[in-house]
Amino acid sequence: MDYVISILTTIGVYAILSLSLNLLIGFNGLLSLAHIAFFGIGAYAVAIGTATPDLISSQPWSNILPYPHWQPGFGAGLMIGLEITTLIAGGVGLVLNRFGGEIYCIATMGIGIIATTFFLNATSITQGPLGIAGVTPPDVFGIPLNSPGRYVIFVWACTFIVWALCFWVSRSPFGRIIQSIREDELTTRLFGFYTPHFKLINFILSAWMATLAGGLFACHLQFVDPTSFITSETIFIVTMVILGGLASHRGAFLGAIVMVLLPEALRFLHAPPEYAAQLRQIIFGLFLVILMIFRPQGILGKFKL
Amino acid sequence: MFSQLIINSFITGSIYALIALSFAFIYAPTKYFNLAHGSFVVVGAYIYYTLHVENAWPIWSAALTTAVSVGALGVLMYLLVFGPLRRKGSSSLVPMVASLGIVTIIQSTLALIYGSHYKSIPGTSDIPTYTILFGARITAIQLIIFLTAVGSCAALMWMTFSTKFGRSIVALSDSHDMARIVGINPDRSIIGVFFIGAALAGISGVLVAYDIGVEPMMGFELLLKGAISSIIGGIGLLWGAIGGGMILGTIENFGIYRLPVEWKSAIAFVVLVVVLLIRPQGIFNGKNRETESRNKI
Repeated sequence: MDYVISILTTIGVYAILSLSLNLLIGFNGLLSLAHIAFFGIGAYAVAIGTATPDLISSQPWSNILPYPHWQPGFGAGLMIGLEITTLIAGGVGLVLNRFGGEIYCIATMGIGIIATTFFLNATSITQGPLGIAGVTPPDVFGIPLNSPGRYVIFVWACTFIVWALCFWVSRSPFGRIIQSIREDELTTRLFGFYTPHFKLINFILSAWMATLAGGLFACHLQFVDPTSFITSETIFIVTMVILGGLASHRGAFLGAIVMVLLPEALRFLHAPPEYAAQLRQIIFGLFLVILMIFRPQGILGKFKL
Repeated sequence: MFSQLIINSFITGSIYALIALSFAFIYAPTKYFNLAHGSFVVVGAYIYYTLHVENAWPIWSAALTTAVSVGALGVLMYLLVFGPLRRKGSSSLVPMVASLGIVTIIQSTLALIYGSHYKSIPGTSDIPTYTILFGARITAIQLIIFLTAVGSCAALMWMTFSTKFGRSIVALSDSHDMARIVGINPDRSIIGVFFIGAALAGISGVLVAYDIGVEPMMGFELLLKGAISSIIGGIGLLWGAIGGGMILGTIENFGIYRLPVEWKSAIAFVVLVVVLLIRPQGIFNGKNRETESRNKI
């Protein structure tokens, strides 16, 4: 039972990630590979906020803080993560929105690689390859979410909120404008919409959701290390979005379900663990290639890349 | 110290130039932004490792076999993936995402076969070192790396501008329709382009194996270096790719003189963004930014 609940939680977390990336790739037509960076920022912000009380007070800069021994906890940690994400996504979006297509893709991939480098090498903050253990789930309205059963409800409540937000965004006038940017940016500008602003706001919104997903992910695993945020995980989430279907919220859920369940199926085939990780990657790569050849919009998709 | 940094810049820069050149050589006539190009380099390095280190082949035959087999891999990828996409007439992002999938497949297959440990070519430590130019030192291997990279670049440039096949590639990078009118078969030429581009990537793999060693996950790093060199030099320009590679190698080496070595990719990325903001068409691209980028080689 715990196993099923754990899988359900993972699906919920990845559904948030997939919904948010779908806002970028599916609705706005921007193939961003930087999403893993914001996912990682959320995870590390929550992990540092809840698991390492001495980490902040041991920093040389901690004496500038009003409370050096303050431990932020889940909520404040996530808030700090969201602020960092806003700064980074804002800056990155401002610069990268000038470029289109392939250069955008390469540049966002660069952001992802820099984030991985940071998680791996800024050992005084992230503890490097050792990772941070002992991340604790939050209390919500005084109820501690210490059992998997309670936590899965919390995660799916968050997923529902994110889904509602994405649904509303995609139907709002704002959503129509970002979809028209996807179809023809020049025409949208001719109608008087300054498109870089819309792209920037969409990018930050999407990055916020990824940060939330990261925070939930950290509490679910109760352990964070850089291997969850490497470049091949970027391909994992991009495959998730494209497989489910571009510009379709149901597709985002479908992608998350398939991509989480597939490795679990491999586990039942009794593949040796050191091969299973690589086999998983090979299957995802094949998915991506086959989808691109036969169905570039994904299973439930409405927009062809 | 300063002269040593310059020597190191030239060696790194020449490898980057070779990767960027082969990347641009595929990009110019086909307009495929091949994200799997870095993985070709890694495949080349592993094939060379298997042949030369594990099976003790002599250097020349091992390197030649590497180039031919990576070239064959490039042609195979074109026939299986890019060819069908081209016939369906899909947008430019579709082949790019497909090549992202190919990267994953190649990386994981290499990790399955060789394991994900770092491998380097043994016996490169006890070789003569020459002191040149104000006390800067260069090993024989580094000298050979530099000369090989320069020679490969020169050979490709000669082939592009002086042979009939090369001229047909120049024509294709201008316009597929016009090339067809003057009697060039795009399909056949593009297969040749993929073979030569991938074979050059294989040769740069051999050089990378000698220079820094090889591991399966290096593909993205190398792709980023090659693609960034090519973009800052002016995307699709062959001379621009060489110049961009040298510039990137120089900036990186002077950067890691001050910064920890892990931040190499961050330096490369900053270079990319700065160049794109100041000169979006690339350093060596003579046209101004308003001109529609009809890429000439």
